[in-house]
Amino acid sequence: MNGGYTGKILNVDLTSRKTSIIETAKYEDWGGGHGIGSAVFWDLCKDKTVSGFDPGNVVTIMTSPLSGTNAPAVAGRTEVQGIGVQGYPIEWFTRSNFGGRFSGMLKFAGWDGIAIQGKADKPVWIDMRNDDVQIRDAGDLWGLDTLETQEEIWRRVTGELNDWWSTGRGRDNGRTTQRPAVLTIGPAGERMTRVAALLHDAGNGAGQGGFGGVFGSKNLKAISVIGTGGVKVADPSALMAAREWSNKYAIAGNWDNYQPAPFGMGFHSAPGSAAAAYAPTPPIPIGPMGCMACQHNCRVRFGGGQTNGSSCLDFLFYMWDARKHGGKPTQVLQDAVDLVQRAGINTFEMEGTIIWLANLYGMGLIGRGKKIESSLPFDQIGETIFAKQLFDAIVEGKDIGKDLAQGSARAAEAWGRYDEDTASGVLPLQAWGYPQHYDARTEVEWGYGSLLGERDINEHDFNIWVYWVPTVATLSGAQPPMSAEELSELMAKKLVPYSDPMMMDYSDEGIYSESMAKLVAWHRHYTRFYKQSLAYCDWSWADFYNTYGPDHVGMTGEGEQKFFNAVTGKNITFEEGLETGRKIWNLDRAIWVLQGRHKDMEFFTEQNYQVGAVPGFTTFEAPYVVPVHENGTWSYKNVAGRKLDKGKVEEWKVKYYKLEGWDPESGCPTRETLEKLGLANVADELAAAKKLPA
Amino acid sequence: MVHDLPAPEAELAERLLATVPFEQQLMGSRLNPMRGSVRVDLRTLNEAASFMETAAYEEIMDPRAQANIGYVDPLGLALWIETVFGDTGLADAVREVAAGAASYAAAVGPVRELVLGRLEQCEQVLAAEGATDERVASDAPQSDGEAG
Repeated sequence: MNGGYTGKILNVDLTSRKTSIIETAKYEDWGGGHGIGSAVFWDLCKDKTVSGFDPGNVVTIMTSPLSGTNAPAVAGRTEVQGIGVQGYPIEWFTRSNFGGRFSGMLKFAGWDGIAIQGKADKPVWIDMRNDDVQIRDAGDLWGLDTLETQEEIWRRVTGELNDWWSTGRGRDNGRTTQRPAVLTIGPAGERMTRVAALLHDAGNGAGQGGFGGVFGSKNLKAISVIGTGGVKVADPSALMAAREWSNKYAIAGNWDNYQPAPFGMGFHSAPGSAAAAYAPTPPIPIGPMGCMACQHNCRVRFGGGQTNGSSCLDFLFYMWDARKHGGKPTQVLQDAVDLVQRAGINTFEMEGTIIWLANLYGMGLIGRGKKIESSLPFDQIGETIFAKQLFDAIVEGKDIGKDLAQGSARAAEAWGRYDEDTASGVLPLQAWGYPQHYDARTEVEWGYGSLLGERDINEHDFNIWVYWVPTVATLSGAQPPMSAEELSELMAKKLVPYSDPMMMDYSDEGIYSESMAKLVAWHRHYTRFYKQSLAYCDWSWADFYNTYGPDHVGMTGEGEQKFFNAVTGKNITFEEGLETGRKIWNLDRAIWVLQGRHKDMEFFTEQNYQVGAVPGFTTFEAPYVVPVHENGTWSYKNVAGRKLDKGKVEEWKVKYYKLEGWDPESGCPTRETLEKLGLANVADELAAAKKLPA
Repeated sequence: MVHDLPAPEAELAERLLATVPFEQQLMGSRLNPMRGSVRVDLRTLNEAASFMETAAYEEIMDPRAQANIGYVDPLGLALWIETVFGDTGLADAVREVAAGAASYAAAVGPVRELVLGRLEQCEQVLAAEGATDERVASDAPQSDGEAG
């Protein structure tokens, strides 16, 4: 018996207010999540060059076959795709995702995903109760913040469900004690800003891409789903055995041998440990929380009731609070996070924006009577009042918020500062208008992945081991758990089919090598399938090094397909999953080519080529200790100060294109490559658009 | 080590305690779990020295400890002190400490102590200067009106 899929995807046309069913079987070969989302988008979006705000844009919200099961660190994640509005200068087809329980509830209601097209003539929300789907008026929800909206929908749905309970049907025929899972926008989305997020429950956000603004453009306030079914599992015994096996790699199987995992990240980390870093001073009670079926529940609930479930950039964007208050987070941070989540604003975008504004203020360029006129209290950055006034300005389109609502890249263009500020790094953008996350000059797999794609990749698979661990160990004078040579050997075993230890060489030569092209290709294929299609969480997977694993070797290469096969009844190998990832990556690339992507536009912002963060005091210098192979020897080395050689990056791009079977002149997949992947129809559409290389 | 440095002239002491223009600021970085390095702008010597911090590897790796790395490149700091503030003696002392430290963690405490000690010297110099000024003021002739 095949399992994992419910067999149907909800297709919603908001213009006509009609719904229909797409059969999942047609798309099963794409795995789930992102793969199915890209394929459905390809089929449904007739003109892929329209703006993300155009009614013709198609947004897909997809589950994984593992959603709603007890497979660890995967069951609660949902993938969102469509033409985003954050990308710059082109609104690329893009992706985001979020955790929680939305995907599981979709499965329980009998759906593998949702495709949304068109535009409602007035605000609506979608009410899904098992097979019953209604498009309801949202006039009285419009204007509510993200938490208020969810609470109101819970009241409406559960109130009616109480009636439903009274029908006397049995537990397995329509009863549930669960609240609906709601995905909503806040005021920032209603105003169609490019910095608006989708929010679900507390702290689960799909921020990048600006899908909140896309929802707003469709007059779609929220989607609510509640289901009373389950997920068919092909081999329940195998799934249970896999879960028990994975417990040996998790704290659940090692209570007597607890060891902190680096930064609370990784499959082996402890409940609540990641978000505990943001607990305020003076302390308030905290407790761990997590997504459906997660083995480590990395997030927390705070006793004060604010910021629940928030994580990472949700807090970090306003660590200015800590700077003002002795180095530790305070109640100010709780307030700021609560405000940004309620407004439904992308915190990652806010982080880069606030750094930029602080720099402009320091340079005397922004404020009352300054070149960029603004009445925001810049001297109060780090206090609640600044955060509130900034978010209000963006939501209400007043003061500089009118421009910042378009994202920092477009605001910089409007203020005539884009070239100067991205070249100097005063505005810290890396590529495609997205704020820098990890440094392309030093941790190149992150930068290259983002450049060849359409957004900051936000995939930490290598980041912990090639950057954090060696950097912190070096700075603190400790020995890292693995030497650089041991790291290269471990990765050579894990990174099939390439199995090339030189993929870990981040030296000045290594970053432009064929081996680095292999590393980036492996990463693109792995994440497209395993993390974005099967929805394995970035905070747990890939599991290369595991504190509790035999010889500290993690599950990657064995674990990912083990759960997938148990649930679906398929029998794929790890490498076959990577090949599906390659196919998805090529389909995405083809969509970008249709949108205008070409080799000649794939450049980082100028700071990556011009500013090397050389030791000194007027450049941003961060220690960046990475593995290098120099003079025949592996070591960890601080490469801060490095800038990228534009000519060598261009040569490296050609190496990468050739490895992928893409045209070295344009960067477009060739017909031969697409046909080998079973994408002849994609090649035909590219040819019809005169975009296919000769 | 600060005791080896001769007390600064009042003019230098004032400069060392001043806030420098944005263009002359020192850039540090806060290494945050999950986020990467975040630029931190430092415009006074006190801010720079106070910002420098680290902890044991195990503490930094455990988010519950809320341990931070506040990073300022010690040689960058020395260059800043020399170029912007004009205190060659302090700059050389910072370089000497940095050269003798096996890691950043080993350098943080001594460098911070050195810089903060220097700032304390500055305050003493200026306080003494202020006292002198007061004495000079009290010895000065009374105003014409009162004298009359």
